[in-house]
Amino acid sequence: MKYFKSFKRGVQLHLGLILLINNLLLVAIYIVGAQLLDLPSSMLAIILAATALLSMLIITFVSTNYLSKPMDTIGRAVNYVSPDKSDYAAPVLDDLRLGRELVAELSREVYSIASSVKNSPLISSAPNENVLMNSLSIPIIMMDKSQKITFINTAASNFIGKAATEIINKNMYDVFDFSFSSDDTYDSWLNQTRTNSAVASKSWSHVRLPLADPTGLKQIDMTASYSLDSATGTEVTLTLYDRTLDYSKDDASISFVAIAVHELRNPVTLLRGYIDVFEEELSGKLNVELADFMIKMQVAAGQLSTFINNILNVSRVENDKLSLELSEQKWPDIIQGAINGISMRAKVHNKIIEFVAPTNLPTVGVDSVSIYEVLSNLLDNAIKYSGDNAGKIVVSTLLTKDGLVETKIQDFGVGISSNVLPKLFEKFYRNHRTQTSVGGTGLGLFLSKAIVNAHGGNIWVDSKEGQGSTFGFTVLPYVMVANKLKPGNDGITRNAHGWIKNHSLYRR
Amino acid sequence: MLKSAKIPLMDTATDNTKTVRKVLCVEDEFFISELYSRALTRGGYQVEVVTDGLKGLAMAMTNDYDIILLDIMVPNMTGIDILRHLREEKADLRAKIIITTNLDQGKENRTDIEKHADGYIIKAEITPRQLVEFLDNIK
Repeated sequence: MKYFKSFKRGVQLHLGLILLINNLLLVAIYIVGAQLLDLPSSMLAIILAATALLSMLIITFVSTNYLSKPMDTIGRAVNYVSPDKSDYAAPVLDDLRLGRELVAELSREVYSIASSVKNSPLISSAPNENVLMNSLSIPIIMMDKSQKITFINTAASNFIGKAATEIINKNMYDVFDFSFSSDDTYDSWLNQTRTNSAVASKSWSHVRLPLADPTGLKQIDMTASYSLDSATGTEVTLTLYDRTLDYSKDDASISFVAIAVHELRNPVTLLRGYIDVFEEELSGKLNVELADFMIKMQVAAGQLSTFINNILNVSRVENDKLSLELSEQKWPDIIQGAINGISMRAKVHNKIIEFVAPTNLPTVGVDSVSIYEVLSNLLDNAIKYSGDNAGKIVVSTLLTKDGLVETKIQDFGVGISSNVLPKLFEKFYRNHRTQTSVGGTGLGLFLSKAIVNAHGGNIWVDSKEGQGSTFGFTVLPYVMVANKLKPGNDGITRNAHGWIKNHSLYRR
Repeated sequence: MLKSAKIPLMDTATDNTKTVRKVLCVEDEFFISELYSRALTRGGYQVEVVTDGLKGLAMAMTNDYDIILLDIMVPNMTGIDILRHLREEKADLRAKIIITTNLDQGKENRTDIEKHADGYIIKAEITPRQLVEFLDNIK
């Protein structure tokens, strides 16, 4: 800053000169007034004071103007190059009397900074936008109107472990297999937004994104912004926030469940085994009451085993590890099998299960083990909530006009209060939070819903308090499953999710 | 009811009444092996129990069994390894191999070799007599 010293000297000189002139003026007035005109001292004092005040005002005004001029000029120079203030004119240095060199030097500096910034990757016009995107550590993905990926930044390609070249121009649904915690998926949002909005944005939390090994399952929060007509052709920009570490705490508790379940199974095996021996050895020797106790013990041990299975399966559903193997099955046989499986329990509770199968049912495409669990859970609930007075449970099945196989399990017991109904298919601990007692239903129904949905069907409940409940669900005829699914190398397998897939299995 | 059904089954399973099917049960949990061998013996099987994996493999290699029940978590060698060895090294293996475990991670998580077992049983889901019934149906 070689010009700063001269600027400072200029200021000193300027102020010093003005003050000197001012003081000389006052002295002159005093001499003239006192010696030549012989004015009275009181009058002289008034004149001097008035002159001092006046000159002070003049000096302040003039010098402020003088001294602030350089600052004003530099300010104009900065504004002139600032991108948002284009209506500012370039400053003129010619009428600067003080610090012209300094201002000229600083202005040149401002101009050179501005021009170097303009050429830098930090702030640039459209062609260099991607450089900026790549410098961000947050994964960003852009798609055009056909959901084809047009851009993926470095952070995103690192995150999913694939080179950008492998991903660009691919359909978003082929690259990203998002699962959401509710029906409010990216897919449904986009469809809605396309019909209603020109510009929109949305965020999701707890989104699951399975990636190829070794990355494995990622858990993310995600935002999407939509633009109907953007200059670059980008319709949606996705931003991902990796929350795997935060959310995997939930998973740790799930694998604890899995371990606990395995530990529980051993004593249950023994319990059932020894009861089995007792029943075999003692069946003819016990009196009626003790024989009844024996059966109740057997039923309870069997129920415990089912319950342990439910817990394990729920943890599998949550970890995307429950998969189905669909095959062609005779539906009435499966229902009858489930009824037989629970018949001892029904008998203990004095329930009669009525089932008449229609003859016109097509074969169904189901995983017989999983769908058996659905039927068992629903029958078990019907027995549990029938109450003491209602002895009948009615199972019916029919072919709907949509061509689905619908099955209903109706009890005539206590029913379910309407405030619990909407939460019925959620996991049991959620129901605990609502302080509503629904017994142990939650786990079995949560699992049933996951399994039925994975089969491509629906599950619902219809209930009135005091009048009983009807649980219904649909499965698909085998022809429907066989047609809709491409025969892959590993046959027809599907995953059961507690999470809702971004797009349906039946890809549009 | 089941008990009475067992006796004729044993007699009529094959026309030749001298064939008593031989079972090797590799199981380190004493209570379980006790229950299984009791039920199987009553069901007409001849049962040998071994609690150690290596010993189990040695017996399976040298003797001829109709059925081998393999628990997965047994000392010194897992049931899976026993199965693999038998499949690879015993050319004349005649025995049907049934995995019996409580350590199931679900069908899709089973190893390939597990998938090639002749049967897969979750012990907690089946009573000893149901096991006998299950083996009766394996020919």
